[in-house]
Amino acid sequence: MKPTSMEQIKQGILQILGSRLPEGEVIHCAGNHDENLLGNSGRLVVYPRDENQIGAILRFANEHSLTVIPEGGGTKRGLGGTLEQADILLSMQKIKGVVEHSVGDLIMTVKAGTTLQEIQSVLAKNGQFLPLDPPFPERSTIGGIVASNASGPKRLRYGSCRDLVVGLRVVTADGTIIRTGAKVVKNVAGYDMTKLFVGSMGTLGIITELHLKLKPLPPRRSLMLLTSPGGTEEIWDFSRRIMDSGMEPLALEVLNPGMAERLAGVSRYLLAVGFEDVPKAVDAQEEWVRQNLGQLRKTDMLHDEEAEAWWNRFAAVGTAPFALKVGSLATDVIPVMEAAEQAANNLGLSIICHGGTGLGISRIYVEDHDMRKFQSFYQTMQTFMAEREGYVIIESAPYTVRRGVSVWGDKPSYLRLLEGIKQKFDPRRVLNPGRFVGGI
Amino acid sequence: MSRLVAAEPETRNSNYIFEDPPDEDKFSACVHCGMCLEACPTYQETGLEQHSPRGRVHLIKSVAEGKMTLGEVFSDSVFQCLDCRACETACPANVQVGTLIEQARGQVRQAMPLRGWKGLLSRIFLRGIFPYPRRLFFLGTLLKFYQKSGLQWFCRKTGLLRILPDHLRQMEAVLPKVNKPVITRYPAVVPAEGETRKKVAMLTGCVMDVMFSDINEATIRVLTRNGYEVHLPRQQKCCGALQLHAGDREKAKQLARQNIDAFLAADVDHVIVNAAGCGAALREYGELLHNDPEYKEKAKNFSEKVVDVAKFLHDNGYRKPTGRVEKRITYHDACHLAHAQGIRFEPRKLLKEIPGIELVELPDADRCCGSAGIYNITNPEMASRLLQKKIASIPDQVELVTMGNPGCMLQMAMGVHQHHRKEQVVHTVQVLDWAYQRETEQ
Amino acid sequence: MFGKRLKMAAKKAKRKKDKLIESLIAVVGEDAIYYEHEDLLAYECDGYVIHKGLPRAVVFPSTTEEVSQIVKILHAQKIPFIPRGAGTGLSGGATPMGGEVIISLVRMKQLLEVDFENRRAVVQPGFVNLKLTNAIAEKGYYYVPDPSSQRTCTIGGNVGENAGGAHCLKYGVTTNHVLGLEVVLPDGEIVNIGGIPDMPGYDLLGLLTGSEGTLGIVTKITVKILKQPEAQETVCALFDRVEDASHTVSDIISAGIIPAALEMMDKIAIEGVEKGNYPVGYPKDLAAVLLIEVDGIKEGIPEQIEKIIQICQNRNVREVRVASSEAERQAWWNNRKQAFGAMGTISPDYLVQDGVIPRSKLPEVLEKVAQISSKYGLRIANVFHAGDGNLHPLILFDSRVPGDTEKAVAAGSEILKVCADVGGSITGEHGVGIEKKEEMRFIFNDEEIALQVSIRDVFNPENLCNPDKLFPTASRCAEVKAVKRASG
Repeated sequence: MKPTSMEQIKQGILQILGSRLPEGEVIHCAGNHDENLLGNSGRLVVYPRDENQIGAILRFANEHSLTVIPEGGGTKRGLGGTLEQADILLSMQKIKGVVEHSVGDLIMTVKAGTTLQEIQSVLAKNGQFLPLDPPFPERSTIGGIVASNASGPKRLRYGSCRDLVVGLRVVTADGTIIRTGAKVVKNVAGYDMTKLFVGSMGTLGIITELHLKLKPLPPRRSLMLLTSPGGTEEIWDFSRRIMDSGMEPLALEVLNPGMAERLAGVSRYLLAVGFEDVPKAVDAQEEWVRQNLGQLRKTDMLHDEEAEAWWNRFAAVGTAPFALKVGSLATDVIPVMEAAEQAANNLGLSIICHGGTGLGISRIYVEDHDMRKFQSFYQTMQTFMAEREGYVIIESAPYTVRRGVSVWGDKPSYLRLLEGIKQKFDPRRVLNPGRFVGGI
Repeated sequence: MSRLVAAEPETRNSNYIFEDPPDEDKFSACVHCGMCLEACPTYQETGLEQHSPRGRVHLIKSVAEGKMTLGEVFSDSVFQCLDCRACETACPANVQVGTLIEQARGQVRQAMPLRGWKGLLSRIFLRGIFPYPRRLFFLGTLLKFYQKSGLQWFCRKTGLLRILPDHLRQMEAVLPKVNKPVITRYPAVVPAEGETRKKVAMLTGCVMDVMFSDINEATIRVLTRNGYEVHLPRQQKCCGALQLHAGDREKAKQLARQNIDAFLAADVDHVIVNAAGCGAALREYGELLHNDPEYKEKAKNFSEKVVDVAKFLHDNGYRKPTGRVEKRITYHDACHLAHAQGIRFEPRKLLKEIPGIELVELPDADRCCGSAGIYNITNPEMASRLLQKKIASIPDQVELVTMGNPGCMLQMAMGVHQHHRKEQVVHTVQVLDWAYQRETEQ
Repeated sequence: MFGKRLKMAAKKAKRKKDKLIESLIAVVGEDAIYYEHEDLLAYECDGYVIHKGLPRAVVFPSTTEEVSQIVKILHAQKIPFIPRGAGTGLSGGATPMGGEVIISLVRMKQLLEVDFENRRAVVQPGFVNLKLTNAIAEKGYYYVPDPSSQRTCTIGGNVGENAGGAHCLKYGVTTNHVLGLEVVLPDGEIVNIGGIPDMPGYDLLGLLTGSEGTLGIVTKITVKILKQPEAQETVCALFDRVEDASHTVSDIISAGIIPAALEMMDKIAIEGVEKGNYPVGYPKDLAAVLLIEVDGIKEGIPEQIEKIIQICQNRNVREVRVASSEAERQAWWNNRKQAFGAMGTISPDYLVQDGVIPRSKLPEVLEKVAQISSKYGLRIANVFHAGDGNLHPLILFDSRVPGDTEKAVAAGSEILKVCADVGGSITGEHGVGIEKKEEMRFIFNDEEIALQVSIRDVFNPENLCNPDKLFPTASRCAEVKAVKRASG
């Protein structure tokens, strides 16, 4: 039985959360319409304080067939889903803080609502860091980063969420609290359930606590910005050579001229090459780059805080509500970026984009707010990738656009397996219904 | 059906009913880890557990536990083994797979003696001819007559050879020119050139001395040139390895006892062997006769004196030749040198130090060539597959393929012939002998 | 392919073939199946020898299509089956419970593709781990996961078990190196997953890797290949006290050094390897040895080595040495990698455990292992990937002594309990298999196990694919609960 009125839902939730705190701190009515054109909001925003409260809320939602969208920093509202508003937006913002940092084990346990920036500042005191560099570290929560599998260019060296999360506490749709993995870096007991939750877009359960693998802070960081006076061939050639050498680049990110203009003041294709290591090893790698520049030109060279500041600006660049993510072979990254430029030109759109030539992941931000043209652009890129190994997804778009297209690309042939998993975890489709691939 | 292994010895139900069963201490040392799998040529080819070392040991154990019979499956498993001992190199626990296989074969041959033409041939050669030098030499004379009289030419031309199975026909094609055996031509003691540094005896071998008497001659020349007095005990016999591998332990033991007597009587410092298979067998007489109260100790003493010619020269000193042999060569590790005796670097060192020699490593040099005693006659298909692999891995532009075992030489010569290649197949000691000879020519 | 001589079923009194065997022969041919009793004996266990069971048949498919057809036949007749690689697993994952059909993948052993520009290789499941590195070494590349059995174990098996190895401390285990899989699902359907990073959808790649053959049969694998590090140095440190060695491990990590490998062996383990086939001449009275390998950019290595040596000296090391040559380094590694098998030289049987603990708990846990050893009166050798806290206590016993096997199993279980209690895990790389089914309860409650079982049901609803492995037997009631919840 679904309580029809929002008031009824509110009362139910208030009962769960207790009324000791001022109402505004536990619940918030967004009204029937939200200004947010990205959707994925809730008629009611609730702020549980711990996993037991989350469990109770989910049991309540299950009982009354309500829909719930879990949310961390809210930076992924444009990604997937066709709901403008769910019944409940479950905010994780009040569930934060470091539970345990075992310095000698390079492991930390942290609550899901903690932002990446908060985590890094705690770790830095002990000379360690969490090697993730997704967009908006000051707003993104670790739970949200992991649930959406967000990543940045440095995953070339450090890996992505699936490589760094070793265990979780999760509240499943029926309110049960489960644990996956352990506070150890190697573990093959049972299925790797942790990985199932990484990137599951909150459709299987709500992550409340995470055990994470850490790294010692590198004593030296460096960033070299290289531009090509000619075409992109030199950039690819250099990337290929550095990957084939014994060098250990942190990132090899290509920026299109539009993005290079913004971040480096040059309107050319630019290659950002980073290194993190002991000073002597960084020096040696910088020297290798100098020796192997070929036709490329060194536009800038930054160290330590300056390098970090550049990467932070990089992470803040994707504010456009229209964005695509392309996964391809490394060899296809530059062709993807060029195809995107071409398609944007034809449609009269202006884009900024970047891609990792060691990774095979590119992101394209369309700066114009023209839904129709954006859809054509998406289609063009899909056609381009259809002949290649990989995928194109819409990483951000208004919900009205998302209703009209399949944002996750083609349905995989094994969709029944994904549906089966969703069915086992959340048979009533309470959590983020329709948010993920094939409407799961 | 699954069960916890019963915590009591199961070997009391053993299906080994004959003397000399596989040694329990030896098979229980195997912990079934599987490190041996990829080292085993027959496993590499088939991927089958029963044709792997750990699978064979598992079955040997199963028979001891009464779970398996001394039947076809078991026989197939232990007789498909090349006895190359590559597994012993790979084994972390030093399981003596070779000995276990020989013991198992002994049981099989007694439980199910060979019948039909196989049994007949086996009896004629392994019992009737090889152990008796004179009979073997007579066969050699016949072979020589066959080669020289034009009969060989006639048989090849007329296609008479087609009555032979394919693999035997291939082998006929590469039979070396037969010479008179060394043991009938050389004195019982060949004096050293110059000062005598040591007295050594030499095993001239059975087939070796018929087919490869030139290698024996080269060995004697190299030894005497380096100050070693070479004894050729007249009472020596075939080493018994072929009989042992075929499961005829009784005959093997008899030959072993005769050889021990013959060589101990010669009273020398070392017994030199230039055939890896024979050397390995001689060095394991102690193991073979460990149940023989009279010969147990003697066998151990004897085995300690046995040494391969390359290792002997390396360890006891030899004069580096100055004669040049301008050849690009490669070296094949005979299983019974590398795996059974652990001799790998000595022959290579010997070869590399010959002026003019360029030694190129053979990929997977210690993988069996398929010769394996008489394996290429009894299991021709597996032998031929291994030979193909071996020939294919010979590096480009190699002129000589060297090795320390006549069995391998015959097999490799056959491979070279089949593939219409030009490499010459020679014994390590022959190359050294050439280098010395070139000194006088220069 | 197989001539007369190699016919698998040698001429012998043939048992009458039943319908099932006939239909399997129709798929793979006479030369790719075993079904006679004595032919099956060699398949009654894998590298874990405490449990044995006879399969109903062993089939050797050569193609994905054959695997799919075999699975379809077995699925239709509700006959359970087990995928098997080289059979070097240490938890009984490929051991029959009795009556299953083993699907051996050893004949699917091709290296299908190497793509250096995209740094990936495609192999069939029967391809041997080390052969991949050997095939690409010439261009300076390698495949990272290096279980000790890498000379013989297959990459398909590695995926099934999510195999680790000595060099996984810095670079991760199999799951971090698998990019894509072709899988035959337990109903015979062939699916392709992954291939490109972040493929939209749940991480089935991560789920399947380490699923111990209970979710399907992997028939093709795309893996990452890496450029070999520019330089590497290995340090060997000999200690008189185990505590000093364990503290050294934590100190190195705390100093901000992440070695490529950090391995430890204790006194009894050293005794074994020194008697084995690859001795390196460690002194007899040694309490512990550490192997520490650092790799990376050449110029950065000396200062790390210096720091490591300094740390060892601060912890009273008896002798510490850097490998002077590649030969010496290989000798140290060969010695270490043969440690399990080498136990055969000092004991007729051993049981290896595979607990994982937070590194910092090492001294405390080792103390408890010693107590368990004396409690049961069994010698326990310790070999471990100390850097990632992955312990391999080797419990030495003699199965011929009545009661010894049971004692060894009980001691093993108790050690795992200790690991679980300090926040660790019951297995780091060997898998649960048959061996540690019950110990799963040390780290998971009924609901957590039920949830995993329900995932298995999505792929393998009739529990035909490697049945009765991985989960505790009595969880059946929990299974029922899960079903109820899902449908209710």
